[in-house]
Amino acid sequence: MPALIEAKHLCYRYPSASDWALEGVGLAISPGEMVAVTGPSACGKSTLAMAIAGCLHEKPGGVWRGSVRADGIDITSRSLYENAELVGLVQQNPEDQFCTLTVEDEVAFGLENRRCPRDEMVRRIDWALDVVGAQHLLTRQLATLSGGEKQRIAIASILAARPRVLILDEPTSNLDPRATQAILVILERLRNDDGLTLIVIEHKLHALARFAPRIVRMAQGRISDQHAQTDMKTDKYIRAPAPPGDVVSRLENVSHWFGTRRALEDLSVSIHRGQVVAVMGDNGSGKSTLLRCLMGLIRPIEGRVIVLDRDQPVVSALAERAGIVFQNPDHQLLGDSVWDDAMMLARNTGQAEFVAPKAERQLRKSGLWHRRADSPWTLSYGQKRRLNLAAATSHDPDLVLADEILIGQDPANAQGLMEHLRALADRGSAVVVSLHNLATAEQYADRVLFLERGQLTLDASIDGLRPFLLSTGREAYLESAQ
Amino acid sequence: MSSRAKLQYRPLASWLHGLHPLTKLAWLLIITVSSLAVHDPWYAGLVVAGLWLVARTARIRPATDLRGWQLVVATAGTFFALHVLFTRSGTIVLDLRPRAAFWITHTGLERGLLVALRFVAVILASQLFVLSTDSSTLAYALMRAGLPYRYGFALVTAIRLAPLFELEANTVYQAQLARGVRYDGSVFRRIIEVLRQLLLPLLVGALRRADHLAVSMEGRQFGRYRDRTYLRQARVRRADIISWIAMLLFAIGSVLMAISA
Repeated sequence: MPALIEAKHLCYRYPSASDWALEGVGLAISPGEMVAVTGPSACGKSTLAMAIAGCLHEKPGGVWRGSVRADGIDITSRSLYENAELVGLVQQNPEDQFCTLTVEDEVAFGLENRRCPRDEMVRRIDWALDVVGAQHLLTRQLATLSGGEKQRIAIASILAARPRVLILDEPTSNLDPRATQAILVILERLRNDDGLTLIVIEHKLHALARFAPRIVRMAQGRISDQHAQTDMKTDKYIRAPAPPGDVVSRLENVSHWFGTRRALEDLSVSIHRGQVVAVMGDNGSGKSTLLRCLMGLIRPIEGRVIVLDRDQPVVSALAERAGIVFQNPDHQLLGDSVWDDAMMLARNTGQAEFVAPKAERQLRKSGLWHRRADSPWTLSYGQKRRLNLAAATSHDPDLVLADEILIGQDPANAQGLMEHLRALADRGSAVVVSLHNLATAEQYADRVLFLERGQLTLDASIDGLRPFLLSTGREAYLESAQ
Repeated sequence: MSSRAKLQYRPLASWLHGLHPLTKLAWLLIITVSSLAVHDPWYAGLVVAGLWLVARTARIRPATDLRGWQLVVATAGTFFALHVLFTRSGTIVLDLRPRAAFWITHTGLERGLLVALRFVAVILASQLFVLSTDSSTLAYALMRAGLPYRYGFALVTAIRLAPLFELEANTVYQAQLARGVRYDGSVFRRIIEVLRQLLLPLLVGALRRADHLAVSMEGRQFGRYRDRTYLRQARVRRADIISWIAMLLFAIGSVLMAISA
């Protein structure tokens, strides 16, 4: 069967970049095939997706070599508009690709631009929403949707134009296991019922195991390995929980609302030294709010927060003894250089002399010491994440909070980050980390807090997590540990 | 629970909410222009009373649903007081001389009342428009009315991204606080420095978002053709026709009053 997509000796360099993002990539994809592209952060996966979708060859200043043929035609001979008729691209963060304010408008957007007649538009919107199981969302505002629902609408908005190839760039990276399952069911339907050719960029290969996709591994802009799907399961390892030390932080009957939405409800919990506490729960269950309450960044509307012996603390009083890492690494790059960023907290809290040797050690360990004079904005995604952690923890804080820091991280980076947090707890810090992956929680955490709609439904030793998930019908979380 | 009213569209099943957005936009423009053009406090008072009646019949309670209503009344009161205190010309209605060098004139009272009521009328009309009009419906209505769709979607994108930028700014601010950055008690130069630290991540985030949005829009054929079709159908109802007739009469009356004054 002739290939539907065929890349030969494909090289691409971004404008003003010195290194090639893609270097001699060769790939052929047959109609109806499913290909999973994986590899470490910044290895060229998203660039390959953009190249196949026809988004790069017209980019001013970029250097394009080699060829990509779609349905037998060289894509450089066609405009982005023409290529988009054949290949649809769903980007990683649906929030970044929405062009309108309501579900109906969003799915209609591409059809309206194609000057599709209204009757035909209504039929196609109906079909696309049916495929992704989102017909009930038709009249909703996009801002009111959950992460999983947004991802479904992002897929439907591309599907409505009926492309023959669908590229999904890390479609589940922001999603909890249940929402991830729902997206996988959609992929299954697209492949089996519609015969769509699917290219899925994904770190969580175990999630795709049921489709037996062809695995394409990338490294440093090249394809390093291609093979049919084999066993993608990982070893299970549940750590023996460390004994709890002194209480560092305590919440008593804490409730908080955002407008009319309740984020936390009557939550009481204590955080101890020497332990890693995994905070788990579906998207929107209150994990981030809990972490921000623990740091004094949010003062809860009801209840009491006692952190590091301070009652109802404000963040400025906690900064020198606590550190927090947020979900998006770019939100925390505040220094002019890597070293400046790593030392900012120490300088602001008068600990520069004490912290400097530790910051140097951390940067060396994170592989960032040779980049210390560079702007933090020039780092790769994984490097930025490591810098965030170094900047928040180089002063040896008593309390460390990490909010979904594994999102978008390749397994090697994720492992490095979790080992760093584990080492902090082993040295006596109290570490609280929100995450979705059961296997990671079992491997690194001592204790788990499970949240559901702002309520604490489980506070137990980590070995109690699996029985809890089983008894409450959360099989999707168990599959995330396969 | 926070009960602070936000100045944003709130869907309600009222006659005002059901009007075509362009009808409401035309009313807003006419009320604003006529309030400034007609120099009669009675006229301004009637406009305010009319708007109040519109709000009540549209199930909007100005005292609680409108943002900063107390501030609006306080500002209007200040305008009134300033005119009363500092207008020295005209017929004197209260004279405290020689005990104090203070007198109030009829002109001062009239001007104060006019400025205060004008201010209330424009603010009230604007808030009623925002509270009863879905911004995306307005943008689509403008595009259907002939606004080039590229400009229409610039408006839609701005409306969509504003809350995301607010959220992002809040996160960067919190990240600064967690790194021991202090805004209070800092010298001016230091505050400029921390503001720069706040703005840089926001700028980078905005550029990244713009890049992704461009890929998404072009990938869905935005800009390929000069025109496009629309799913939304603009419906002009009987209430809109009645409203346009009322608007015409109001405009004629306002012009006559402006000329006669």
